[in-house]
This record gives sequence, C-alpha cells and structure tokens, in this order.
Amino acid sequence: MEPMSIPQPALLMSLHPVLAVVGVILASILGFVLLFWLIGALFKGVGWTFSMIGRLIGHLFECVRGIVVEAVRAVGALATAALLLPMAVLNVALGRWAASRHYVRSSGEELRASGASLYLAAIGWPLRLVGLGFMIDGFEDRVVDVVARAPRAEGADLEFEGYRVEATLPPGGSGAQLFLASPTEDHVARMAAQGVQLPSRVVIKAFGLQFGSSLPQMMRENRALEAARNMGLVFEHSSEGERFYYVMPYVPGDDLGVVTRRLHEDAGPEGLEGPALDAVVGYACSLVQIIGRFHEAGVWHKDIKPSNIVANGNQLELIDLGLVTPLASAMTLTTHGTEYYRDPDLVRQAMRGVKVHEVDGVKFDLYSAGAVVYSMIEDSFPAHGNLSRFTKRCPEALAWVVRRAMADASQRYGSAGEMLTDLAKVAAAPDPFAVRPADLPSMGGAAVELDAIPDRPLPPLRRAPRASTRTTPPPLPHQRRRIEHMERVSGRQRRKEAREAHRRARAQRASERPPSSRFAVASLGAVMLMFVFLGFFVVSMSSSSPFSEPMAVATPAPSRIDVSRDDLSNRVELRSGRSEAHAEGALFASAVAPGAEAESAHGPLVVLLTERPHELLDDAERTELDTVVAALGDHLGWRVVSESSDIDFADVDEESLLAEARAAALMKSVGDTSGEDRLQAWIDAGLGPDAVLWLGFDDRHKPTRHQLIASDVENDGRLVGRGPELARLTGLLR
Amino acid sequence: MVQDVTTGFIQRLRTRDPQAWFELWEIFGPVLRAQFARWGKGRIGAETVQDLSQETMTALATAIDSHDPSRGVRFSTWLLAIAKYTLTDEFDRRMALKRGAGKKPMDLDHAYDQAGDEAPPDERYEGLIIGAKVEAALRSVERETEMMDFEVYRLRVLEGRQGKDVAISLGLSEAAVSRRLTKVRDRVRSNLGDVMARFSFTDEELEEASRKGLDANPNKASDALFDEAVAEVYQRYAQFRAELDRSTGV
Repeated sequence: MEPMSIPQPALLMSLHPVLAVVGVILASILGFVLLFWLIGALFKGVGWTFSMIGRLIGHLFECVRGIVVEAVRAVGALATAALLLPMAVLNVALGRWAASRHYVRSSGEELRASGASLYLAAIGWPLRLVGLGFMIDGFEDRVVDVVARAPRAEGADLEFEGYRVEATLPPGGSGAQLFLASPTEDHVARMAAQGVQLPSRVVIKAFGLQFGSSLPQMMRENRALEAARNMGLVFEHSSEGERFYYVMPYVPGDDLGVVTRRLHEDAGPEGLEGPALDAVVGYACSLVQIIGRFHEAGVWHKDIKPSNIVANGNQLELIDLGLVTPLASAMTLTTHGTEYYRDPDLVRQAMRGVKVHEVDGVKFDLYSAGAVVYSMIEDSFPAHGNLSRFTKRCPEALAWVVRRAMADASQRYGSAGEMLTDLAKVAAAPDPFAVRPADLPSMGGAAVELDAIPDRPLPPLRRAPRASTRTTPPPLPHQRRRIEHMERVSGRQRRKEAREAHRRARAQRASERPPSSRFAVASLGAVMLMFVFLGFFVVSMSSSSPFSEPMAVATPAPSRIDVSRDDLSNRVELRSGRSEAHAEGALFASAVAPGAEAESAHGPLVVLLTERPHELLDDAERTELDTVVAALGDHLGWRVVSESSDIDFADVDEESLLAEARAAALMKSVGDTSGEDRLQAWIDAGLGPDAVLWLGFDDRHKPTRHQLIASDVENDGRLVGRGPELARLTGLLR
Repeated sequence: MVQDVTTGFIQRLRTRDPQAWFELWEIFGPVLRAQFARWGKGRIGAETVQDLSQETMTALATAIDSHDPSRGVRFSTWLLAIAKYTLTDEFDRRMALKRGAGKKPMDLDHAYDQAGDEAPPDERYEGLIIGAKVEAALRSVERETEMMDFEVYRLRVLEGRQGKDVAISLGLSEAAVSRRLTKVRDRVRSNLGDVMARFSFTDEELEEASRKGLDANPNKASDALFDEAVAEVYQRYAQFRAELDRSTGV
C-alpha cells in the first residue's frame, strides 16, 4: 500500500525560497558577528598581552632604575659621610666641640641614609621586582622609627634620689629630659608613709642647665605642678642645685594617633562601625572625663591632641603637662598649642593680649576634645575647623557632639560634664547610629548614668600600623622654619622631599596593583623572612652606629611621652653660651659659627630689629646699622643678631629669630605699645632672645629712634635691665 | 573702582591690625598652600609649602603699603603674584643679601607690576579663591547664628538632606526647619556679599559671585539655586583641600 502523501500547503510552498533566503541572511549576519567578535577578542587578547608585556617591561625598568638610584644614593651618602668625618676630627683638634658634634651627627645621618638606600637597592627593589614589595612596604621607615623611639641606656648614670634610672626616653622639645626609672624599696616605703603609692615604674622629667632647659620654661612647668600633684599626675618634685625634676606615672601604650590608624586600617575606607566605633566612643568619654578632672583641679591642659594622649587598654591618659595653665592665671594668654586642635579664637584672643583669667580655658580644652573625637572618626585632623565635613561613617548624634564642642565659644558645651553626658548617651546606646541629636540630654533627651555604659572590649586588630601614614599636623611655624633651614643647608630637605614624593608614588602604585597571590607568598615565605632579617640587620646596624644618634627635630616621630611642642632648648643654648647640651640643643649650637660662639659666649643675646626690613634700607642706613652692630658688640659685649650681621650661612637659627621678632613686632613703628607688648611677651615666654633692640632711622638716616625691650627674667646671672644698659645704649647711638 | 569695604580692610592691614592679618591668613592661607603644592607638582613637602605660604604673608605685609587700586589688578591675581614672587625669589634674595654677592633680589614692586601683564590665573586657582571666600562667609555665619539654626542649614544645604529628615533628626517641625533655613540663608547672603566686597579689587571680580549663582540680591525663586551654588562651591573647595592634604602628605 502506497503511503499516503500529505499535500503541502500552497502558501508554505510559496514562502520556502523566502525563508531560505532569510535563513541564509541571518546565518551570514550571525557568522559575521561571530567573526567580528572573534577578531575583537583576538585583538583584545593581543592588546592585553602587549599591555601586560609593556607593564612588565615598565615594572622591570622601574625596579632596575630604583636599584640603580638607591645604589648611587647609598654611594653618595657614604662619600658625604666620609667627607664630613675629617671635618669632625679637625674640629676636635681645634677644640670646637659643638662643631665637631654637628659634623659627627651629620655623618651619622648620612651613614643611616646610606644604609637605608643600600637596603632598598639590595632587598627592597628586588622584592618589588618579583611582586612581593608589599611585604616590606615601609619596612625601612618602620624599623628606623621603632629604633629611634626605643629607650636608650645613656641616661642610666644619672642619679635621682630614691630612683634607679633604667633608660632615657626620647626627649621632646620642651627643654626637658625624660627618664624611665624604678623607685627603690626604701623610697616606696617612705612615700607610702606620706600617703603616696609609687608604682614599679615611673617617668622622671628633669630640667637643668645641663639639659639645656631655660628658666622661663622651668617656671612654666612649675606653675602647674601643685595642681598636677593634687590630681595624682605627679608623685613628687625636687630642686637640686641647677636641676629640677618631677616624677610622673609611667603610662605604657600607644598614642591615640597610632591607635586610630590601626582601627581605620582594619575598618576600611567607609569608616568605623561595630566594636571599633564603640571603642572610639569609649575613648571620647574617657578623654572628656580626664579633661573634667583637670578643670576641677583649676587648670586647663591647653595642648590636647592625639599624640599627647596614650591609650592603655580601654582607658586614655593625657600626658605632657608642659602647657598646663591655671584657669585663674594672671599671665597673658599665649598662642601655644597645636594648629587644627587649637581653637582659632584662642589665637585671636591671644593677639588681643588678653589675660588667661579673662578667657574660659575650659572651653578651649573642649574644642580640642571635639577635634580629637573628629580625628578618631575621620582618621584626619579637622582642617576646616567646625566646618570640617564628616566623610566617613559617623553616628549623627556623635557628629552633633563634635560640632557643639567645636562651635563658637558662646554655644559650646559649658563644661566637660555637659559634654560627657551627651557622649554617655551615645556610648550607652546598643546602636549609636540610632541615636538622634534630638535624643541627647543637652537637647532635652533623657540622660543616662555613666555606669550604664557597657564595658565593651577593644576590637581585635589585624594589622600593625603603617609608620608612613601621618595624622599629626605639621610642626609649629618657628619649628618649621628651623627644620626647613637646617635641612636646606644640609641638602637633606631636597632628599627628604624626593623620598617623600617617591614614597607617595610607590604607595599610589601599590594601591593600584592587584594583590598578589597568597600562595606565592606562602611558598616564598621562608626566603622572604631571610631577606627581611637581613634588611633589619643592615638598617639596625646603621641606626645603632655611634654616629647615628637621631636628630629629634629633624625626624619627628610619634612618641608615648611626647613633649614636642616647644623648642626652647635650642634657644637656651645660645642664651647661655654653653657648648654642652642634649640632642636638640646641640643642633642649634652646631648652627652657630664656632668662632662667634667662642668670642661671645657671655654677653646677652640681643635681636636688633629695624623698623623696616633690611632690604628696604638705603645704603647710608645700612652703613649706620653695621656701625651700631659693631658698637654693641665691642662696647656692651652683646651678641647681636641682625640682618646686617656678617653671619655665616649656617646661622640659620638667627634667621628664624629675626623672622619671629619681625612677626612679633607686626611691622609696627618704634615706640608702638602693641608691638612692644608683643615683643615683651615673646621674650618673657622664653621663646626669643634676652632682649630686642628696636631701631628706627630719622630723616637724616641716623638711628636715633630706638627702644630696648628686655627680659625681666634673670638668665644665668646676666640681667639685661632697662636702666644702665639703656643709658649706655643711648649714648652709643648718639 | 575699589569697594569701600575693601579699602577699609586694606587700611586695617596697613595699620598692622593683627585681627585683619589673622583673618587674611585664616581665609587665604589654605589657598596659598594649595597653589604652592600645585607649583611643586609633588616635589615640595608639606613643611616647605607651609613655610612658603607664611613667607608670602610676610611679603604681603610689605606689598600692602604700596598697593595701588588704580592699577586695576584683581585681588586673586595680586595674591598670586606675591606668592609667585615669594616662591621664585625669597630664598635667593636672602642668601644674596647675606653673602653680599650673587643674584640681586627681585623687586617686589616689579613683581607686582608684572601681575597685570601675566596670563590670568587658571580656573582651578580661581575656584580655590571663591571657595575660600564662601568658606569665610559660612564661618562667620556659623559664629553669628544659633547652633541649631546653622545645623539646619548645614544638614539641609551643605549635606543636601531632605527637610523631613532634618526635622526628625533635630526634633523640629518641618515649618521650623524652613524658617531657620531662611534665616541662615539670608545671613549667608549678606555675609557672602561682605566677604566678596572685602576681597575684590575690581568690579569685575566683585560681580564674579553673581556669575557663579551667589547673587546677593536674589528673588524668592532663586533661593534653591543660591543654596545649590553655595553647596557646590563649598564641596568643591573641601575636595580641593582634601586633595592638597593627600598630595602633600599632611
């Protein structure tokens, strides 16, 4: 039986060729698309390959260049050190101890720089070449930083009755030496009988002429001492001959800046939350409680900033009592403090010349507390004051507390207790982000008891801080000038800036690179460890060299006990004319031309300030000025710092003195009382010279108008008074 | 034509009024630092930048005495000329004077004269200047107004939050938020006008605020535009400053 054929519909038959054509067209299009895609992918692959090859070549060249540059730098630094050492020997032979120490120290710096460059050339860059640079990123800086901060043994021979000195801590800039010590058993018993319980370890802060301290500085420290004793911040104090010291508790831990960096490195760019945020709120409460204790004792700290706060577990300790001021002090308000953490209004008030008791010091401390809390949240300082934005995660109630602490004084918290009440509300909340500003007690919300704040453990930290990250603001203007000038003279500035730029670029590149395989890290771990230990050995060797004592001013580093605000000791060296001093004092002494130092070791230091800058004087006036400078030196025995003096280029600190005197005088005319008051305050604060001779020329280009502004404080037996000195001076100028 | 307010402020600077100098430093110090950092292209460290900006203020103290408004130089150009003078000449000049030989110092007046002839400052620098002026106005308003009022303005305008959110957060009614916002906005307008007038040497510079949407005499419909302009300028300025901090490693 024939199978029955099914007739195809006529329509389908007629469409068949059309479908075939459409099919062919679609297949062609698909084929072309596929072809283009394949060609595109091929080109992309080739491009990627070339790009990778280019990157690899670039990376190779970069690393080779790095190796060559660092090797050359190491050789250059070695050569410089070799050049400087004979100069040190020559100066020793000539008996110029200060100059020889300067050259030795400079040699040490060069050796250290050479060691670091050698390490980078031999280990750092080769490791980066194979993609393992991140393992040792910043290693050379971190090691140097740690070594510089380590307690040193060279103070152990000093004696303080009842204490055994164990080590010397890095000195700050306040003209004091810091010692780590332990009390003897007898002394512990003796103090216990007086009701003072001494811990096993203490810090002794000692001032003395041999340490390069100044009387004004010692007086300033002394003013707040009784209050500090009552607060338990000082156990005892003593004056022995030319030495004055006091004993404080030793607070172990890291400064708040370091702790904040750790918290943020673990939290990531979005900011803190969870246990890290709880820790910050807890720290804020602790800080404000401490500030409140200061205020209750009738003093304000005046220099609250992260580097002056030590975190010890959940608790904070406020260190550095150098600027602590009685709230009711009759002294003139000064601008001391640290930019960004200091209320700008304090500067305005100080410039008006108001007295301390005329302002509310409590509110200035609270501003600083707000700035510190801001810095903990943002891991950066409040560059715009109270207009600084919160760019990271922050509970709005906490932001409100910071805003209120940094608001205009009339709207700021009135007391630490008031601020603490608001902080406690945030700290006690299970979710700080759920607390609104309207819920805060100062806004009418219910208050919580301090006991209600849960005792939350600190978050575990996964990584060590990167030493290269900086949150502390730049040094104060007068410190900056000295540092910059010194570094310019030695060429260190250029190298330092070049290295900074290099480090930043490297960090930028590192952040852009994809993370390397952990497997590769593990497999090469043993090799790396060997290299790292070798690097540590090289750097440590260069750091522990007898010539490598770090210059404290030139290499500021976070310190647990940081008194890095003033640089008075530098000045004291010139004021007292002595050649023996600690590291910072020696820095300044080394800047003085050795000849000048020897000739004028005993006269008072006088800054001669002309009404107009030197470059605006005409020739006749400059000649007159030279005559006056010579006469002052010859007839009165003064050591005169003037723009007309024939100062060696190395006398960079004298430039700083002149710049500061000019800034203090505010370009006023001779005889102007406000200028005189500012100069007087500058001198009396111990920041300047013994006196300023302010000189103005008349129409005949003669220096007939003059004013002597002298220190009222006797310094090392040389009193620069206004009476007989002024009479002799007037005679001379006629 | 120099504004009366400008003349008054310059007079205060000439009489060495410390408050006026501090104000100048507080407002334009960051701009100078930013400009020096840009010129340095990453090779000048934070401390050098800070030092140079201070030296610029010292040079300004000299230049302000010889300032002649009839020269028709903009305030921003004048400031830039002094900064450039400081950067290129300050240290050479000091060293030459000390050694009594070498390069002669550049005359400040000469540098000032050249200011009008040089290419005008770029947009980024002008952005910094206008940002500094807006921040100065905001800072003065923040000092003069109640904290709650300014917080309303900060949250609503500078942070761009909704009125309802602000009301809930601060425990206010929406009407109260609106009232406080209007109050602070008016003050910002007024103070911004003062700041612009104080730091503008030419009429063209003075009118710059209007061109940027920061008109001192607006109508009701322009409130939103004014808020937007203030927020934009302020945010951009804060961003510039943050970039500066990063680039100089502060």
